[in-house]
Amino acid sequence: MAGEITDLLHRWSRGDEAALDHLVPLVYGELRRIARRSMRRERSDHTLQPTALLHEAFLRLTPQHDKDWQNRQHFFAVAAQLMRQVLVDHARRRGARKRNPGSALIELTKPIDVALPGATHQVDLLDLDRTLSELQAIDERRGRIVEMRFFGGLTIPEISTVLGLPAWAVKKDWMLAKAWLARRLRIAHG
Amino acid sequence: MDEAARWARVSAILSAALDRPEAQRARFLAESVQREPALRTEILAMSEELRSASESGFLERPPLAAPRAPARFGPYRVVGELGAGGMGVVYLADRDDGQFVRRVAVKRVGRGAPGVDAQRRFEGERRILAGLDHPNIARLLDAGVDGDGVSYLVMEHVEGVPITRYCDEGDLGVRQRLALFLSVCAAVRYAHQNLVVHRDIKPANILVGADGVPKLLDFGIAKLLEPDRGGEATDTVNRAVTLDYASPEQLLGKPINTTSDVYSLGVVLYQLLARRKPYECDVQALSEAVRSVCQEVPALPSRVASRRLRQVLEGDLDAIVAKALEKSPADRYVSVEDLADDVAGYLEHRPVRARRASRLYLLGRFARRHRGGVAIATLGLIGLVAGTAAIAWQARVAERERLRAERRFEDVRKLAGWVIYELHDAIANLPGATPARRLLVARALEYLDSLALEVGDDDALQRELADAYRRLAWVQGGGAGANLGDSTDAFESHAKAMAIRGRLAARSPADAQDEVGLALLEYDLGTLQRTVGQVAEAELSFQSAASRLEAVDRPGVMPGSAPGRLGAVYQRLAEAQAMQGKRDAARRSAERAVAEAEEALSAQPDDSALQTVAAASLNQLAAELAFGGELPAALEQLGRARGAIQASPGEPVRDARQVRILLFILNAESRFRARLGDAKGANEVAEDALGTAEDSLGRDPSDRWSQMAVVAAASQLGRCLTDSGDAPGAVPRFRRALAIAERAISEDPDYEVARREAASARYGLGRALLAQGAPSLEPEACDVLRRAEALWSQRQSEGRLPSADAADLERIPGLLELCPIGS
Repeated sequence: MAGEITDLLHRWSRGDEAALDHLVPLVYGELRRIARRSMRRERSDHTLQPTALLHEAFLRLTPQHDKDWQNRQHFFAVAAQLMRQVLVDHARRRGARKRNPGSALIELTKPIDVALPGATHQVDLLDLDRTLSELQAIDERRGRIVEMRFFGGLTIPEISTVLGLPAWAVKKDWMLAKAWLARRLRIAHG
Repeated sequence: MDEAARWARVSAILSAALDRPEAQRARFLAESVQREPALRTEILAMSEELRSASESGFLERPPLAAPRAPARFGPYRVVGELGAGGMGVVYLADRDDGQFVRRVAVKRVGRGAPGVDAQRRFEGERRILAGLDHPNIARLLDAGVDGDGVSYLVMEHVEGVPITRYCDEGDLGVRQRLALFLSVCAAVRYAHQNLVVHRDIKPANILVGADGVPKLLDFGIAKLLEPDRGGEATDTVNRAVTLDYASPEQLLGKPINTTSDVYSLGVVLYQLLARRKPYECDVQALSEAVRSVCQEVPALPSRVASRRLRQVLEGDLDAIVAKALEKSPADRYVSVEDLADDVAGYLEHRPVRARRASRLYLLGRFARRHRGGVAIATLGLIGLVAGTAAIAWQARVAERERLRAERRFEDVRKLAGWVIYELHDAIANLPGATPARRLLVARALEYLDSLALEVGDDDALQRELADAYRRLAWVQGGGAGANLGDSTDAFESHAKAMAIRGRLAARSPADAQDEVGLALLEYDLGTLQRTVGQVAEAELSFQSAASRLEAVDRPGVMPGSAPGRLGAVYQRLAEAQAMQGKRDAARRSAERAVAEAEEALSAQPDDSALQTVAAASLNQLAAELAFGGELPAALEQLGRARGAIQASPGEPVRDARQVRILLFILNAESRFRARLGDAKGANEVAEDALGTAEDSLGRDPSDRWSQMAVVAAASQLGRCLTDSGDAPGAVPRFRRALAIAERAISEDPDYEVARREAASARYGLGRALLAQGAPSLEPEACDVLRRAEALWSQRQSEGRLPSADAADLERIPGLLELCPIGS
């Protein structure tokens, strides 16, 4: 499977969109398996950080000799998107379980709520996810940057490699995207 | 405007504002709001949101809960969390070995297992720190590695409050505060004797317990953590130390020694005495913080303290703090001991070192020490005589010092100028020179930053410094050839230039030269923004440049100032507008550019810079006319453009910039003629263009721009030949173009222009091969077409494919119909 994923990554990085469709279920499944395993370790006092998770996924999914940096970056971009899905799914199920206790669901770790600057209340991950989708509808690039930075834990220089944009531009985009999200969330939550 | 369009506008304005130094942002936003009143509310609200989002760290924590506290670290049982700082989470833990319980603080440092080297260094440092044993220093008790491979440090747990809070809450007087400060100095001095520099002295690291004994925390920890930090230098500064207390050399990433601690102690002393900090640094604006810490001399403590304190602080204490806070380590107290000695001297009414130079001071001090003494007159007389001799001697020393400092300043200034203005250009186009250029630029930046510390209030020197930063930004941003990697550096240097000019302009608003300087900087910023693809931001900067120049060019203010400058600005503005598809605006700006440039040129017809501006403006206008389908009018403007730099067609052009413009003109002319059906004319002009480009490349084969000019001209000629039925004649043209482009890419894989030109040449080659209808040529044709398609599709998905290439991309599937699938 590792070879297949590498091949798909190469095709995708060359602009083959169809490769991504094949890539997603493979990576997603693996990510869930890793997440579940990490969660078991979590009980024995281990931490779960998105980047650590993605690094581990990458190492497992690609052969050892594949040290191609570009490839790695593209992988992180997809993985960040998946990470968002995983976390949001998880938050949603956690909400459902509150109403329906007893259902056995995997638990990653408790997703934090996000404090809005200058406001007393917090918004949860689902609000943020929805608002981020709104941002992506009008500003795809900045939305993706939030996905990679916040959900994927990528650094600004890493994102700049993925997008082929100067780090300075990415940093500004990240600041602007946060401002947009904060304002939108503030309006929505009074 | 729909929401996406509104946000695109608002975000471009805010993004452009972020490219300016803080002091310039308000003016820029005010200007932008005036230009777009409909977006006023949104711009202002979003700018406020931008500020508060940065301050509050919104979305800066990962979306997963903070790691649960580990149950143990080796023999230490975790009982709570003390807090999370820049260096990670700190836990409260107990060591319970049956006999007694010892309460400790455990710090987890680093994210994962460090390398062997880092571990060895860590171990070495740890041993030194563990050896520090002083009543005013919190001891490092132990260290280890936890189950995740993360290092942790075990420190003595200190219960107490930060020294500043302790003093304010207990309402301690000046003498009590100084006594406390002396204990702190004793601890630092002890550590220095053991060759340990603290590096992060601040009130939060100086806790005073209920017993009134201050203890310093985290000795040397900043250094210990360094190997794990890696990454950008600014980032290290950002996280590892607190900006408010960091010395200039620390902020500039220079070597740190004991005098850096003297500086930080000075900041703490300042705060203890004046009850506020000398600088308020905004964590988000590192460059601003660096500027104020490195350039601004803070007000003396007595100036900012309450009236009640003023008299106490004036004189000795002001002088002591000022000496500790000297920008240059050489001017500070040589050691903590000297600083402490002066503080003690003040407490004992002895003369303090910091004020030794003043004779009157000595006498005054002397008199106070012998309060009520009777021999003052006699002693005073002796003192006067001795003092006069001492002053004459001191004056000579001071003069020599001053001359030496001036000479050094001159040396550095010349060196910086030589590096950025001459050395860099000399090697800029050498193949493989990029690492050397990067080194030169880094060195030049160091020189300039050190000059910035010493330049003082001299306006002329400040301007020179601003110009040097401007030039450096231009070099860093790729203005002088290939991009040197990260344009962040270019924006930072540019902001430094703008901050200096902005301060000068604010200081003397009547002097138009700094306004012009700012306008030129806006122009540069626009160019820089365009280079990194921020075209909307670039448009705003060019607009801002134009309005500044127009304000200055008012008759009577600065008559005949900058002829042609406005033309150049409008030409760039037109370009930026055209790139965003704002056809009407682009055309108006191009017309304005032409008017400005031609007016300036009519006064000075032989000025080659003005000729270039006029030609570029006419070329821009022609492009806009062609977009509107007015091809004959476009050709007419191109003819005028050519006329501005060539008295007659074919006349050799020497000036490198004029060669560039001429090639743009010729390529455009060839394309327009082809579109008008004048194949013969198109071919002739394309041949002329290729000849000119080859000449230019022959003069300097390593010059990248000439390489790309030949590639573009050869491809254009190839297209003309293919379209006029001479496909076999076109093939060698495309091959020549492709060969040069591929060589450039092999030297620099990120060279985007070369990659795009290569795709374009491949597309032309594929088309020319297929047009010959020979099956033997088909495999190569299919291969090159597929490769062009791959790159263009990727650029299209990234939203950066020029429209002409997009049109060609759409034709590829039709051409590929002949090819076997997946070959």
